[in-house]
Amino acid sequence: MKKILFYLLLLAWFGLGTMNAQTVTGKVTVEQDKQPIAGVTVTVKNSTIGTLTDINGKYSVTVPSLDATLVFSFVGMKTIEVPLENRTVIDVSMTSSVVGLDEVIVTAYGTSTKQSFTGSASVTKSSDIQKVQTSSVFSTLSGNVSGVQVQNASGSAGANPQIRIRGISSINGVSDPLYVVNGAPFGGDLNSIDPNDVESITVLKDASATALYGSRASGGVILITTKKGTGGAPVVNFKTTYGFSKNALPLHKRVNNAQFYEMRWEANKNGYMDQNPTATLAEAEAWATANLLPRLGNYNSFDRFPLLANGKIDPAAKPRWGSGPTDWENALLKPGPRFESFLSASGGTPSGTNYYVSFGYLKDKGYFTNEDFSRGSGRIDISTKVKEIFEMGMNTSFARSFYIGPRWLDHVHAFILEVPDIYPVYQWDDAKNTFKTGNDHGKVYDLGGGNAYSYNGLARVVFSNIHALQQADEDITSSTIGNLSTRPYIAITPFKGLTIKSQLAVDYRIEQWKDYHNPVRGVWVSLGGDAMRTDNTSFNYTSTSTATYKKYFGKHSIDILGGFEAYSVSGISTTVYGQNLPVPTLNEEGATSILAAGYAGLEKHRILSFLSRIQYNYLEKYFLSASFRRDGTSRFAPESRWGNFGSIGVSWVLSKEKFLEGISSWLTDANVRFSIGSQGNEQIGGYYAYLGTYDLWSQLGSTALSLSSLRNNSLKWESDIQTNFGFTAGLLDRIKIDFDYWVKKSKGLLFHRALPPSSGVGGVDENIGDIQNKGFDLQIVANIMPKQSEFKWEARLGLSHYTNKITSLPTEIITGYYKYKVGHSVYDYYMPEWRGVNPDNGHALWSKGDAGETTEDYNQATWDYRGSGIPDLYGNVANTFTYKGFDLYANIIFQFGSKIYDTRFIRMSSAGSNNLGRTWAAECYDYWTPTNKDAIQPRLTTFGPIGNIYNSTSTRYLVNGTFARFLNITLGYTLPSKLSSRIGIKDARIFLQADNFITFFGMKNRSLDPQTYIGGVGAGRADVTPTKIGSVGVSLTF
Amino acid sequence: MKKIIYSIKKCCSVLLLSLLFIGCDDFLTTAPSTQITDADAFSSVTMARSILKGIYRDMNNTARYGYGYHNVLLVRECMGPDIIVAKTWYKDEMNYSTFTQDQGRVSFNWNMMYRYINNANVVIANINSIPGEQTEKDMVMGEALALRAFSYFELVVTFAPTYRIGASKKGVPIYLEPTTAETKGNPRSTVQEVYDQILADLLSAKEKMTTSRDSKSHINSNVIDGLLARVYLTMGNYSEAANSANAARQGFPLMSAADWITGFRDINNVEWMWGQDNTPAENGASDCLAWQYDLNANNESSFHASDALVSLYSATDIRKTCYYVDVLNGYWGSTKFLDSNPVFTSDLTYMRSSEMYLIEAEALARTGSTAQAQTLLLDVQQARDASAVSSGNTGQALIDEIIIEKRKELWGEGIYFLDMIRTGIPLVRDPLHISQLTIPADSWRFIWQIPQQEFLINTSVNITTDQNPSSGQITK
Repeated sequence: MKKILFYLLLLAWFGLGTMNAQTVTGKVTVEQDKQPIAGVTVTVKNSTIGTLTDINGKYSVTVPSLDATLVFSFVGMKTIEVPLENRTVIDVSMTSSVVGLDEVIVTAYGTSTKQSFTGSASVTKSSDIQKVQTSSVFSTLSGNVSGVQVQNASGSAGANPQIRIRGISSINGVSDPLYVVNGAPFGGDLNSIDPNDVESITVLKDASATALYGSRASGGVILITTKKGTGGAPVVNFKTTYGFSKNALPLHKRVNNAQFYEMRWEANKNGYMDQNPTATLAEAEAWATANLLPRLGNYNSFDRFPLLANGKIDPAAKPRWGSGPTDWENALLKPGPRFESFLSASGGTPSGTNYYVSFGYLKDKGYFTNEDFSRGSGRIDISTKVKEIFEMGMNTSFARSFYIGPRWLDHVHAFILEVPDIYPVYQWDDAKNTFKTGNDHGKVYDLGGGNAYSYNGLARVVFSNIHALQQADEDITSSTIGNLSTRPYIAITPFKGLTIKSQLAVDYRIEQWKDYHNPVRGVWVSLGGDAMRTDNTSFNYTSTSTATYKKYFGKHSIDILGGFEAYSVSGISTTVYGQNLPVPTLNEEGATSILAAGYAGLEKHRILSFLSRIQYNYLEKYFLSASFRRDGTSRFAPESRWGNFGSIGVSWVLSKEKFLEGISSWLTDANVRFSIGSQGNEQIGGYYAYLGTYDLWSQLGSTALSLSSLRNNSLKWESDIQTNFGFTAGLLDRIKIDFDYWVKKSKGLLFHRALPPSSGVGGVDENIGDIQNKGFDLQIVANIMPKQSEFKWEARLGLSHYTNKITSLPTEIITGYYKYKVGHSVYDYYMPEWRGVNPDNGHALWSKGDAGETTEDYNQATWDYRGSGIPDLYGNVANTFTYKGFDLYANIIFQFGSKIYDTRFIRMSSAGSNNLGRTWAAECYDYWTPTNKDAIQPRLTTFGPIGNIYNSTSTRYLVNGTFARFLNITLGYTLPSKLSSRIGIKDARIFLQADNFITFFGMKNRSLDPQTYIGGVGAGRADVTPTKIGSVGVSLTF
Repeated sequence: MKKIIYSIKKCCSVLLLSLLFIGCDDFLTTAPSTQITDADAFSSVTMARSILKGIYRDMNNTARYGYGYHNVLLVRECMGPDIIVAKTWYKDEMNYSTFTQDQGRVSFNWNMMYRYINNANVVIANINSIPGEQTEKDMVMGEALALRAFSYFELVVTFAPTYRIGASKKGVPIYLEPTTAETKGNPRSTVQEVYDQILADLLSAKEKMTTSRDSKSHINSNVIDGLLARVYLTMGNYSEAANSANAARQGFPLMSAADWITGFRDINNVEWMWGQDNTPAENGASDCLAWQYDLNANNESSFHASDALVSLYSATDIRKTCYYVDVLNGYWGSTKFLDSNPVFTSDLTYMRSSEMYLIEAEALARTGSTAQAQTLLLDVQQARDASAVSSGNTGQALIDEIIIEKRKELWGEGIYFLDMIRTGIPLVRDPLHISQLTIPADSWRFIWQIPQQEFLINTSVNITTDQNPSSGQITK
């Protein structure tokens, strides 16, 4: 069988060779400046023959006959068709095309032009990616692509953002998009991709666009294509920037030391009264005074007892080590330098081998003391073509990143935001009235642990014997991520129209986590210090084999694709934990004398897929695309593991119709499109979602089992049906409008349904309920100034809106701060309404009923919906101004009408009953007293039953998430080419960049980043505060 | 050309290889490498018993689900008059500020005990359908029933009023079948119903079990009798309490005075009936009482004894030698519980025969067998203080003396607080205590609120009618 096929293929190939071939040559340049363009695709229309231009813009292509038509296409340029009309030399000039429908875009398993594409996709090009300088390639998306929400997951250097495309399609299943790098799902570290290497990012949004990745595409698909060799003489690029990182938003202000003592005293006094209802005020005041310092571990930041008998600050008291509240903040936050450098070379040989090689290095010291992120990466892309029949190539990259930071950023923020400065960072010398001198930054840390490393041997009553700065200096929390990705492929074109391609994608990733506590100081001294290493290794491969057949029949053309894909990931996790280290200079597990714990496991996940697609067009005017895909996953039981996904899409290029010729002077481009299709999601829980499992451990050396999860053999694919209607219009050749309206209905949501705590089982994974997301994405790009003008102004506006609604759910479910109920979104807050402080007694008030009544009893408070975590509208405005050599770019992102739950403020606004040593937010100094009845903070008390509930879940902590942010501002100057060419440089540009420089946000002094997780909860942790970066850079092309 | 042919061949073979996958579920069947599946869990009696070992391990758990049962005991001590927490951990418990519905502390206890119960129910439901010796299966069944009863007793004394005043009040939800996806949640049974179930389980377990066991960390018939003694005592069934306590302590004589001061860290102590056998391999962190009591164990240990407690001991009492003044803060430090080397591997006692002596004594005193009660009390007193003589107390004075002896003997072991709520002793702390909290007898403040999450998910309970008040008096 194999042999017969082979001879058939060979025969077809000889058939090709008998044609009457001719060679056509020429040069491609940019219309505006006549510079040559390398890498332009030159194809013979209605054939698979093609080539690329070399560095000098030159090409040579063999055509079957001299009445053929050549098509010149290049990302970002208008495609040009030139009939040969018996000429053998064709030179063309291309114009850049912000408005073009004929722009080439990377799509699922191939490329397409915007006009023939029946789906909805947005492309971000290399030039835009370069404008944002975070380590993650995705940060740029929020400012360039409509319908995509990019959320900062962490402010630490080197963190990846969270991305949501077109709403939230799953509740407990993963709503992350599928990442496809150079044609295959990516299992490596997203942060290993150097943004400088990226040629384009395509975001596939609707079913028609994503269908070929159907099984895992319910969260949308992000295609990342890295740069390739362009042929011809080598082009060398060099780029370097240097700048500084700082926290973009201020941290929540705290009360100062005097205010803190006053508030503690007040809480003591009231707490005594609450506990002893018969006590007199005088007794309570005396008790409050006597117990003030003892209950704080006897720390006094003043030179005498800080308060008068009435609990107010003694004006005669002088601060000793400081008056607060920023001592810990200043010690723990430190703007750090950021340095980036990148070098690449690309070119090719005349015989058809193209290459691209690059190296990049990034170092970012972040904004925390002792934070350090560095990444080195390299990439090589090589491809070679033998005649028109055989092509092979490989894209391989390696990256290694290293992150070391202060022990858990959240912990650092807890110190800054919760530890009052009555607890000094360093030990105070009472006798000399100054800080003690020593080796810790010239001073001596105060561990507050009631031991030799503590000021006067005292113990703090918060974080006793823990010191965030000492830990940052002496302990280690680090991660190293190594990533090797390679994509070898071969493609064979045995006869005209048929291409068989086989690609293997391998992503090999090693994460090494290190955790070490020194044996000299801190909590872990009792263990003799400890050291832990966790290594997670994952090996992903995707083997994809496709056959594509293209055929033209006069006015019709057809393109059929079929293939298989096998995806496998195996992950090995190993942990070693040891205690008791001899000296602080040794921190590896091998140096510990007690190997206390270890773990190793190998877990596997697999998906097998069959895929097919047919595309048809008539007159390049009417396009049809249909696809079908069948996937099986190892996550579900054999009887439930297969899912079928398909789509159909149509597109109509109106502007090519005769009846619109009359208005073609202003309607330069127009296309409408419609698609419907299904996508799937299988990501829930671990790799074995359907299995009933028991955890395996030991009891006195023999096997012990504990129920871990309940079996569900009927667990199956979550699927959604998405409908998309869109149009693109080009006006006056200067304005492009892209609009899509979409409806996405998700069925059988993968859901971890909580069981009652008294059932003894946390919950069960099921397919429960339906969700509907619908909305629109609008993108407008306009060249404000006429084409001929030397001053250019490109303006972009992106606007997106969506609603999220649960359409079916068997029971109402309250989870966290939300309540899932039909008719409401998955991020509709559900909680009692805070009604401030009762002026009569200082107790907190919540709404009761709908009639405006209030109650002091939290159990009687009415729970209701209190707004949504999903914005009503979000988007961006980006402007690029160019004049002579100067360019200025400013991109503002914004969002309206979402709410954020401020979890950190909960701990900063207590009544003072829990954790006596914790400080308050500055605004809480406005606390209730009989003489300050109109207060925002309820009456302070140490008495648990009353004070505990004041900071229970309520709208007190819900804030408006409307914001606008200058995501990026770049000012550049390109040297005139006459000048630069004299020193052998083709292109030289210097630039200033500023990321996250200005944020407009009502709650910005509360450590909240409005651009945080969708739904907002988890915000209020200042560790999600993004980084503000200012840099200067230079980029050179040789 | 050869290259091309080779490549075409290779390409074809890749295609064929892919074809092999069609219809082949082997590729798509993967299984966990560090867990076992439900089918394997009931492949043998030994395997099923491993689920009970899982409960014991969960009780001294530092890794998988949070901390273990020693937390329950520590918190119970903090709720009494005799512990002073000088540093951070457990301070909120001493101040009674973590027993309301939204606090992690209440969820911790609730979830942990119901987790034990469901694992026991899984064994109870399946053990008889596993091939194997019936006597072996009965043993496993008995052990599972006993563990379930133990867990319900823990729940009912924590989340419901004591039996004396609350028998007809709301107890806790009862589950006798393993949880499935269909489990909706049960309503709160009455305290009486919970105690009936506990008794039924313990009596059934007693029939199935003997004194033999592979480790003192497991339950045997002595432990079941000991649990019965605690339950009957709480229910006011004093004759059965006396019988059970007597049966329980057979084979477990009182330890010597010399043993008493060795630091309570060895499960092999003659008096220990049931406990936690901590080993370095299974106890990597802080899961022993010494973590808090042994002030030299680590920088967080800060449990001190109250002045009121220490003043109860006579000068010749060996137990008094375990208390010393901590120079850092002037409170009483204690050497009753000492850490072992390697650290945190001191064993932990769940039940000792001296408790059984004193339960028997109290039950006898309450049923009029004064002389026998006095003898048993004196047995304990003389074991600790060679020069002890009988006080000659009778009636309520004798009962009070027995309970005070329990307070002295079992300090730090989480027992005295249960006597307080059982008999209606108010919380009064001595003037030197760091937390000046006074709570009258039979206050709702001693009873924890049920976690809020239960009301959000369990449709059989309603927060406005089924939640415990957070304060106020429990009325009979």
